[in-house]
Amino acid sequence: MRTLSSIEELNFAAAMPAPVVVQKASDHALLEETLAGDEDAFAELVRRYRNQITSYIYRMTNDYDGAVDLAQETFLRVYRAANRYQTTHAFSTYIYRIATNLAISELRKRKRRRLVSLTGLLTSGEGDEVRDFDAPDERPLADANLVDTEQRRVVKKAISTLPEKYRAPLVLRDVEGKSYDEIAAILQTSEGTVKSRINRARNFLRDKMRHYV
Amino acid sequence: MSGKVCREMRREIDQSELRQTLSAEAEAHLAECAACAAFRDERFRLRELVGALEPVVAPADFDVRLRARIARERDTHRQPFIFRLVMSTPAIAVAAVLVMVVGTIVVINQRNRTQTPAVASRGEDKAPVPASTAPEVAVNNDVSPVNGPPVNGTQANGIEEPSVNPPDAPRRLNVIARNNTKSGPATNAVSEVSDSTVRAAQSFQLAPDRAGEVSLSAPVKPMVVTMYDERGGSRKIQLPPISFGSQRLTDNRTPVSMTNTRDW
Repeated sequence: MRTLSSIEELNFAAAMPAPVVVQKASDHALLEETLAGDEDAFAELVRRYRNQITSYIYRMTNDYDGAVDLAQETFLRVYRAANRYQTTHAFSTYIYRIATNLAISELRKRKRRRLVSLTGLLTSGEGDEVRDFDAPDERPLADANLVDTEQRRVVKKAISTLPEKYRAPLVLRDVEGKSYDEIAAILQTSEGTVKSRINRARNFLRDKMRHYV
Repeated sequence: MSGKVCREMRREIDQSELRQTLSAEAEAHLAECAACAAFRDERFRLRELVGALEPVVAPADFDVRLRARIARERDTHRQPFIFRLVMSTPAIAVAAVLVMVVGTIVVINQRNRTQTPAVASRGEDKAPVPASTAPEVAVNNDVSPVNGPPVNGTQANGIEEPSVNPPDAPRRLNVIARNNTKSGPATNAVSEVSDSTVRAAQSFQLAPDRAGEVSLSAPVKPMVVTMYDERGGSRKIQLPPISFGSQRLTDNRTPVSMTNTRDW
């Protein structure tokens, strides 16, 4: 009897690859097949989007375990509401919208719970938003890897301090590489608003990362 | 350089793709305007930094966990509606509140029952007082409320128990006077109910044929028994709480007579 060498082998999608037909099907077709009871079709949808959604939620919440949970909740909602899905938008827009709503909801819950550290509070330019932020250490670092690591840490921290209404469009644009009209569809707002918010978000980041830009 | 033109150029820079070639007009402007060129470099650097964040991947057991969640959800939906209703969080919360309310009511009722004074039943109605010169016995529980079970009414062996309850205090006196005959009219009578301090004490006149014998319920608290003779003299005897094991009825360490009004 063959024994499992790693948890990776428990991955259904990897252990039992979906049929070629399923792999080539569009997202819409996969969702229709899921609705008809085809588990492989849903597994293929999960395989296509699990990393993107996990990464996106992680950039929004800055918490990996929470991001994985929320990503699973996103797929669960897709599965539950498969019969209500309308093909007027791309499936990616639909699933990103669910993920965005869950992430923003989580951020609001955190704000209510006052999980934000009370140390190093800074106020934003808008006055009403209070966020924590570590000032960058300006001492020179010896190793280029250390510099990169420090830069990434500062960028992540700076993104996590953005107000949620600016964070979502910035992450979708500069991290996920979505177009403006896609972002507008995901956030259910106008393209002009998206552009304006991205511009403001970048200005915030520039202020936070003045020593790195 | 015009501010309006600079704003237009910066908007174009902001909305362009990373490292995308700008329009010829914008390039020409950037060649002349150092501020806009600096803005473009700054924006590109910023976007590179944000875009350079390492990709995050889902954990290896993502699918397994998701399937487990879906299966759990299906099982939940398969359960009968009444089961889901009963096992739902609001239902459990309501049940918990109900249990607490019922428990509180029961505790309050029990407490009230133990503190409710027993209704006095004077023995005068049932037992006419014969003219007697027999000494009286007054009984008084001297301390705090008694929490024992109420003893009143007529007992099965013919012992009649008059009990007295002051209307304004949850206190109780239990005094038993024995009838001389089981079926005949009682020859003992309650002649007085009074409290030397706060509560009423009960008085007995001893039956002539059974002089010197009186039955009392065992006090759970120290009790003072006052005895009077026909000449107006009185003596008080303090009785400790009595159990039915082997013990002395009176405490020899304290004087037997505490408040003599005359020498016996």
